[in-house]
Amino acid sequence: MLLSAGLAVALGVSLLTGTIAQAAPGMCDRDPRNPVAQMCATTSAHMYGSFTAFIFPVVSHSTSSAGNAYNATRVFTDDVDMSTSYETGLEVGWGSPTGATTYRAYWVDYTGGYNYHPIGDFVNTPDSRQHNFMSLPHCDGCRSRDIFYDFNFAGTTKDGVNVASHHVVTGWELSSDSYNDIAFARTTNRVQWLNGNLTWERFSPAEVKTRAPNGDCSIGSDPAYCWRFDTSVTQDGAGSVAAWEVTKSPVQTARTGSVQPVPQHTRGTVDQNRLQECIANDASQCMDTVPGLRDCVRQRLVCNESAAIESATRMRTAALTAQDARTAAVDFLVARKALAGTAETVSVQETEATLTVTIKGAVSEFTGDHRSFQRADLEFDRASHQLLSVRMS
Amino acid sequence: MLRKLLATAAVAASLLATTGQSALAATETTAAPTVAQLQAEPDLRQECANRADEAARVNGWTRSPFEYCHHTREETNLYATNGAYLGFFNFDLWTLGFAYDGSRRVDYVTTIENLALASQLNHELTWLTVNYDSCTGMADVSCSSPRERSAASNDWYTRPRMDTYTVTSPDTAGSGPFTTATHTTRLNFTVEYRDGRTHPYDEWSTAVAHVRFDSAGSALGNGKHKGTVFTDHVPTLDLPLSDAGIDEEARHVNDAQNHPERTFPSRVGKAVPGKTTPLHRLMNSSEIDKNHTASVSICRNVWGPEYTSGGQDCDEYPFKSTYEGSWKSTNNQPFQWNGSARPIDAGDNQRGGTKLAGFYGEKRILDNDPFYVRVTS
Repeated sequence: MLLSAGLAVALGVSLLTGTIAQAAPGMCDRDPRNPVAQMCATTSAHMYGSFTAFIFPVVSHSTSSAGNAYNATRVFTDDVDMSTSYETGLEVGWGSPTGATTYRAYWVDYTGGYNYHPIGDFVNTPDSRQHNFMSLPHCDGCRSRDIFYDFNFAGTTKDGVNVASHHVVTGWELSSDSYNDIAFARTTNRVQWLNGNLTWERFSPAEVKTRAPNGDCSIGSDPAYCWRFDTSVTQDGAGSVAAWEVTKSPVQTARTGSVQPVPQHTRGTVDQNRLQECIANDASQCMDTVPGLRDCVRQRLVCNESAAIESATRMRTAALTAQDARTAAVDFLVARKALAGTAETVSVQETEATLTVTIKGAVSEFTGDHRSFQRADLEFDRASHQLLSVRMS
Repeated sequence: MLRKLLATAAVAASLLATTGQSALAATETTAAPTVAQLQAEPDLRQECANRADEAARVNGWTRSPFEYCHHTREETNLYATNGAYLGFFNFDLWTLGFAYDGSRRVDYVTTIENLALASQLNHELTWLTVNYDSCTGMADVSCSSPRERSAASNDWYTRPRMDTYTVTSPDTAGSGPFTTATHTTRLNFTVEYRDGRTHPYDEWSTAVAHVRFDSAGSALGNGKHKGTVFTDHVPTLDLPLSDAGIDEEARHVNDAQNHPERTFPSRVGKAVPGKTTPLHRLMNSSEIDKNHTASVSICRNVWGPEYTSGGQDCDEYPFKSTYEGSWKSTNNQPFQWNGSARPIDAGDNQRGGTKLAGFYGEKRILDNDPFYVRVTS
């Protein structure tokens, strides 16, 4: 992480002042991490699957710095080293690939390495609709899981998921040079887990803990590290944990100025000036307060001109070349801070339908535990240029 | 459906008047446009022949609510009054039935084909009588006359068809909210050897068809205000997984029927009907609304009050317009439901609703009528 050691220590102390521990230690106890806003759930029963419902939020960033944010749900293999089995989530990026905010769902299989699978292509505007990730046993007695996104099959994990899964973490992790610049509306992760009878259950309040450290906003501190999450654990009528809610608004410090005014203009029926003001102040209110935004989002139009990009997909007319693939692969890892230094070697393996770029050198997971590896293989579809998977080993 | 309805009794009679396998080709000179349409899809009789086991059941086989078929190979043996065996008389008994969407009427066309007679029997003494049960005294229906044909085997050979038998019901006859009347049509036959020394062979209820006449009016929905259906037919609603604008709807139904663990409410042993056990249409608008309200409570519980965000509707399967809906089938305990509710694209949901309404009307499905739902690729 990019935090100074002193700040990390200071924040680490604050992390451990959360929910009183009643369940077995989970990630919120074992691994204080910044900047995250996560709910950790632990149950003594075996979990055979997970379900997360969420809505693509309006996420904004007010600088041109590259970075990413992940709203993910991770399921862990065992209690000892808490290695992750698989992860499902939404990646929100900016500065990659073309300097605008992008949204894309993904899932990661951590079995036998790190295997990142994007789902579909980037979109530039959150559709504001409910999305779902569901994982289920691939078959009776299997140790692999089928992953479904919006109830459509997305893939199957390798045969390595421990049946004794007890831990789930859900929520946001930010990866940026300036966390304070990131703001998003209230997000709601509704998580359930699958028991041995293949029925879904919610966690009890005693089974969850949270970690959502606040940054250092004291006078004289670095504004890049001043941030605040607003979080809550909501319960259903039966008293079970229904949702993990997170809002992140930009905060002002002595050294941070006001948001730069943007030119008055309207894109389509959306008042862009009002939209930018809203995003800068409280993005959670934009759908209700910005004229035309809700209709625009419903119509799946480009509503935020500052975030609009020309879809690379729409512009693609030629098949992906090896050079294109090399560039795209390196850019992808760099944008996610997953390429530690200079690649030692970059090679491309071509097939009729795909190109696989192999990068040897120090690379690291860009979601989950951020473990280090020595090699990354990025597979692209030749025709659509779409990234199909990232595998680290 | 139009094509099927054009298969009028007259055309069917012409088709059945032939004794060979080339029935369709032999009718090219009659009612040309209708025959052309019949040729455009597998002929009912041919399809019936392909479903020999089903067609041979007493209740026959129905291709649709408006098309009935019965076919058996009758093999009879004649015995003298002293018990001596005289010989066999075999024949094919075909009956096609046509009910009408738009009128309270059903037509039956019966033919006797492929006659085979023991060589020692005299054609002129071997008689076959085919008749329909009388409907005299029935308040709500009328039957055409004659309802019987009795002829020697050689006469059947040269003229294999009975006159079309028609059962009608006045528009105002019947009872209940949809002015319904029912009728069971039974076909019987008798084989005789008219030498004065032989036992006749009788068979009753060789073929049976059940029909319902209704004057549902606008309550049916997207359909004609009156009509007639074969009630032994249980229609199937097909929902394509793609290319029909109802992808999410079809996916939802597929999950509910085949992967209930992917659906909510979540409960042990959930078995969602519609695939192997039928759903039943519910026409009480108040109860339909209650079904939907109960389903919405599931959507809100799982996805929160913002489940409609981004233009989504709470979709439910079994549909709210069925007795298997989330309120009706659970006595308002929707979390004990053998069904599923989830948000899907509102457009998908509305197109799915339109398709369902069209299906109800097209098949004349009234309150508590059964139907299946099948997801197709």
